[in-house]
Amino acid sequence: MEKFLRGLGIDQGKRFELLFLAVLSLVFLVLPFTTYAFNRTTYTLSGIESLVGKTVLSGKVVLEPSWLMGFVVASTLLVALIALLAAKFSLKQTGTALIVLGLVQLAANVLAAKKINALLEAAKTVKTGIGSTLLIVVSLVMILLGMLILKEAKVLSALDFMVLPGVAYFLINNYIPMAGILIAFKKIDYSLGIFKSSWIGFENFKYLFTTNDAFIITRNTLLYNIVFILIGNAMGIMAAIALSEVMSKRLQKFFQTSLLLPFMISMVIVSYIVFGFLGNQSGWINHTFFTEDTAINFYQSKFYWPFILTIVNTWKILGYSTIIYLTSVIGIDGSLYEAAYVDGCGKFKQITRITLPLLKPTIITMILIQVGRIFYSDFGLFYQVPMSSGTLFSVTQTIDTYVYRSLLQSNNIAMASAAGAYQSIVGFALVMFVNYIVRKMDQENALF
Amino acid sequence: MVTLVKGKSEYLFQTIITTFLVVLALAALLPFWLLFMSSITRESTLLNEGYKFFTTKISFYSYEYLFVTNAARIMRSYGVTFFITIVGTGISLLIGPMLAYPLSRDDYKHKKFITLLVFFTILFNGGLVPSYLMWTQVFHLKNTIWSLIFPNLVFNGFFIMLYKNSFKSNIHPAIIEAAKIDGASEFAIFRIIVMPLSKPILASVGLMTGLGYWNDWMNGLYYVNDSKLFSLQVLLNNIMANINALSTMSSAASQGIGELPGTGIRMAMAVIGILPIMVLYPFFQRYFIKGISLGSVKG
Repeated sequence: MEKFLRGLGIDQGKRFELLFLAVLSLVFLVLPFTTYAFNRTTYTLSGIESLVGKTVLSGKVVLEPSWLMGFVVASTLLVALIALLAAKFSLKQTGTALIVLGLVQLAANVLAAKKINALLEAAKTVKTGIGSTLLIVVSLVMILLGMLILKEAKVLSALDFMVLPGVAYFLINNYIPMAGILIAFKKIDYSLGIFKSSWIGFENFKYLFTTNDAFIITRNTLLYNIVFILIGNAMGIMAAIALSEVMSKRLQKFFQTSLLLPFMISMVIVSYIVFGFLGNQSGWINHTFFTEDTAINFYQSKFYWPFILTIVNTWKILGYSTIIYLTSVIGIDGSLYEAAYVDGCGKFKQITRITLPLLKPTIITMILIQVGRIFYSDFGLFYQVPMSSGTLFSVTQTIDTYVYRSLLQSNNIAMASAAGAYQSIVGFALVMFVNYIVRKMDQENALF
Repeated sequence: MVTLVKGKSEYLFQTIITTFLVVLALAALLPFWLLFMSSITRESTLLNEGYKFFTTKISFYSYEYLFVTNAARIMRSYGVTFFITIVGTGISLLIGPMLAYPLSRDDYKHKKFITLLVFFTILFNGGLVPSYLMWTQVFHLKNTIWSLIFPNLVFNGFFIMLYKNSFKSNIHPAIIEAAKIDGASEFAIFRIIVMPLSKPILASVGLMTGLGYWNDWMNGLYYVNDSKLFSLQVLLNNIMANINALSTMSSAASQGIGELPGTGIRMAMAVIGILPIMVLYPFFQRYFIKGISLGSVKG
């Protein structure tokens, strides 16, 4: 890279590659920034026109001179200035400035395009033009170049470049939505857009908690999770101990493979299988144990679902928890059992006196991880398996299904965002609290 | 565990655990058997007698319907599923280890900050609403194939921690030091030393990621309503949703599915949805189990 930069004339105190980028930016301003159709004709609006303003749509819309586009031009000119005065700045200053200017140009460009597209609402097929896209590319190149210069200045290392794509993914996929929790404090009006919608404080939450839904979804989420944690871990521990005692390796492998199979399939398939058992007309249970008159309409009867969901959940995750506990059981020192045997302890006593006490740290860690996530439910289990039967909502609706249904089925973004924020915030508080308690009790078992 | 002499209580113990495990194994496997049998039972028999574990009235009509009559749709869904699984897992295996490797190096300057950035995503998340708005309003992923690849599935903080721990314990700093003295760049070290030495963890995490893509229907549910982009799981989900809509008489609006497949055909579709997993399972089980047991060790 250094060679490449030197080849571009860096040693002469001017950074021609930056100058080139700046000129390129200015050239791209002439290209279409936005295209739109009006009265069956396609028009374009160049970057320059977006900057100085223009009357469009036969005088219906007046585009004011855009200060956002001003930022784009200003950052471009600054880059040109840095390029010419490169000798006056240290590498660190140049690199940092380039990254900042690149980010400014990128943000201003994207926001300006969004704003102009929104203003042209009356026109048809409003699209961001090639000029804007190319400018985004230039901004990204600027940022990258800035980073390379910082690398040259030994501020950044090659390792920083390595983490870049992964970090970018986390920033987009995880961190932007975290900030998006603030939507819950807004009255979202799609015609204004998310940013311009007005702040309303805790109104959405107040509304959510006056409904009965808030109580039902919290109760269901918590109660189901408590039952799942207890039964899931108890079964997992029993199966793991039993598995470890199986003499034949082959048989052990067979049991393990069988138990893990349900864990490998999606909840959609699980719901098909459950339907095979519980369906009204063709379900195995109704056909085997009941006549047409006594048949149970499972998908309309609330009573059975706490049991059905618990059984299905246990069936699906048993293999997983078994493997986790099995790893710990196998790790126990065999000489302990020999000693116990010599002292006359039978198998059952060995389990209660040696295995279980030694499993304690694993059990605590597992339960803590699960308690930390007690405010989250398996969306698939509660959405797919009861097949979205409305009659069952009072026993199958959890926070996750409620958020989904409010957002995408009843289009109630206020309730969806309030319930989602409630889940995120209380869930986070719970993890921190649980971890704090454990750290007080036993540093070793704390998660962090 | 070591067993020294078989006494009477030992015999009783063995009987109890074997019985217990046989019951659990049957409970785990029989539902799959019911699914499979239903898919090869004659349609008329299914309507009269329901789904059964054993039948003599075997018919492969369901599979014929899927692979001959309706081949185009099924193959398309299979294609979408394969595409997202391969591309998604590929991206994940490329950028996941690239993020994790520097975190395993004690001499990496920004190690603390980036590790915190990764770890925090395990503790806290923004939830569905902001994610949905971001992917649809900002990135315009709705009804594109990318909506089945990017949201949530590429990797999570947990997988990065798994990689990190594995790199830390398997790759000795001396090897890296030696390579550096030989003039290898960081990227070359990563490519030539770190990746080949980490095949087991790459296999484990890659398999979990691949399975995640293969089984995913949630991104399809949130972001896709164009039936051309239905993966197998999304197609299955839509069929079930439509059947449900019909049976509760609320709305029969079929979302690009057309007529609803019969009772046996549905089960056959579920079978072909899990078939590749079943076939590959014996080969990758070892890595999968390794991945799960590694996950039990905290980061």
